[in-house]
Amino acid sequence: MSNDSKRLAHQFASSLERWGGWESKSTGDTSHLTTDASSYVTNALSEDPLRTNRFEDRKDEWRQMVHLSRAFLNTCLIQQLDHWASGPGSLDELLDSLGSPIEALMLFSLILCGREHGLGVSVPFVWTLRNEKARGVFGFFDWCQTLES
Amino acid sequence: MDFSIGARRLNLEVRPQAQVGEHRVDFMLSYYGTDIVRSETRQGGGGEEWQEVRVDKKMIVECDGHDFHEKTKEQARRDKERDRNLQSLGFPVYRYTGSELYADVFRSAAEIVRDLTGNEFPKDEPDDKKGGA
Repeated sequence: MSNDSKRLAHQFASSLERWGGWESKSTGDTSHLTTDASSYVTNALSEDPLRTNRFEDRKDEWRQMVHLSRAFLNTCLIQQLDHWASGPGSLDELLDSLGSPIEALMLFSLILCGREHGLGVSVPFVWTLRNEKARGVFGFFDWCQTLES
Repeated sequence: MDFSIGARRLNLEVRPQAQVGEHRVDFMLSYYGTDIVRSETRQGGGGEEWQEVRVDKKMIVECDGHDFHEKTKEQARRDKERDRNLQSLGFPVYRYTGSELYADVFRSAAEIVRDLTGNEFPKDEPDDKKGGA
């Protein structure tokens, strides 16, 4: 990775940690926003004190489910990330349609800020491939949200 | 109280390289959907009710400087003229310098989303209205 790319990525990560979203307001620690997802899943399930009664009263049973859930959630994330990263309407096609790294900085931060507000976020774009224009939509929606025209 | 109205469904569309009039802008943002807001009842008496309202707001975001350099006077003049044209079409224009975004892009993005949605963070809503569309 070139020095320019490293600096750009570092600036983005620093700004992300300073912003922090809900994480910043609730815990004051935003460092895990820039660590890998599997570590986050492991830590969230193991250490989150806001658990059900089962956590308090039946720790042995809870612990077994946690071990099951880690692999499940991790795989869900990888599946979702894979869909977002490649294929039709994906991140790689979207990045191809942008004009500069600065626009990518702005786009990524807008998506994260929008999702922080609980908004369904869509990014419609036109992608030029082999002299043909293709339209795609890179989207983030909760199960209960629908895309309206 | 009538809770038969729908749930909140609010979306943000971020359209890069959008054509607006004769200009191609960096981002056209649309905040749209259905919100549920609290209002006083018409009968008076200090009561409150929840109403479903349509939301549809747009904003243009421009990111200056691909190389993080400062603009010349001529570039600045052209940008101001362009902003006036876009604003005359009814769209607020938020313009950020490259160095501003490079230094702290989330500060700018949070400002944009806050101004577009009118909220620093999501609004509270009654439990009855949470759930699927």
